[in-house]
Amino acid sequence: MDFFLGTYYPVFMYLVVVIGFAIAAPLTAHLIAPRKVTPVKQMPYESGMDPIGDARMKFDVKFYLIAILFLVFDVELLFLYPWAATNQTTGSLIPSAFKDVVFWEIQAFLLTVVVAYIYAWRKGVFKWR
Amino acid sequence: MTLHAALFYILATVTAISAIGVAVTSNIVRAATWLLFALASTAGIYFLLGADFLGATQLIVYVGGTMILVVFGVMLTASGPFVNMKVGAAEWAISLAVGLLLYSVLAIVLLQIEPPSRNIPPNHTLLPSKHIGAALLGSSSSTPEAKVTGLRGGQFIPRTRVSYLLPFEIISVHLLVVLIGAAYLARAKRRREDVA
Repeated sequence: MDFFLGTYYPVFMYLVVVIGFAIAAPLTAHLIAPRKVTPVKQMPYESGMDPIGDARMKFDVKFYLIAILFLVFDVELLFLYPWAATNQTTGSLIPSAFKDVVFWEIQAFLLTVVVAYIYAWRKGVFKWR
Repeated sequence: MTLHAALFYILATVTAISAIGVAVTSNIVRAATWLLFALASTAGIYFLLGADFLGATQLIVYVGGTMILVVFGVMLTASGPFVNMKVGAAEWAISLAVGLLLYSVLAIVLLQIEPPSRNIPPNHTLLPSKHIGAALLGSSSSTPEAKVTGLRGGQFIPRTRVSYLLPFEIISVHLLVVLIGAAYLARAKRRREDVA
């Protein structure tokens, strides 16, 4: 098995801290916080402004384009991950003569998306209309 | 029980409970949250198997991407504050039948293959992501000659060393096509608004 538990110890520690905080923070507030309920405190918090309308509403369909753009760069990131894992390793994984080629391959990979990004930018996809 | 086995049982339980939660709950936002936990713990099982690139793919594409689309879909289309999906008895029966059918197919396949512990030679290694990365970048010498296991009688099919540089660059062109497509759709929408 290639699974070394030791590699994941930082992840486990992080999970323990996150879950512990998520439980401890509301619990501590529940135990030690003073309770004086006033109508203002019962209002939904909206950065000090009086809330207008319902919080649950239909969102603009423009947000869906943002979601699709996010997905494109998300998948882009996915293919940078194995490269990032490769790049920092020493040894015979990638021959040293090959390093420069690899650098330019990644530049070409990124450049194709940059071209699309500039196209979308020029077409006004990022403008909020 | 080893720590490895304990982790597997924890993750498998979380996956199973979350998957049942997705099917049982009638609130679509709760179903999405259950799905999030089911997909994330499936990624955990992939990590446990040593397939870290597959686990990362699961996290980025499914937990990150598909969940975003589900939640955005709910946000954009929900007509009321609480969307409940009423499921009739007939729908329950049909989906139960389909689910059992799929489960029996998986169970039959699982019974056909031999347990891998008898087959895997001690020097057998799975592909960690750094080897996949090297293969994606065209360094075919780094790809270990992994063998297909789980066949009857302990047969091995040797795999030749390959590199995936061309698919890798095709992917980036594919992403370019998607972005330009999104940009084109946004532009077409604006033009229609101008006319109107």
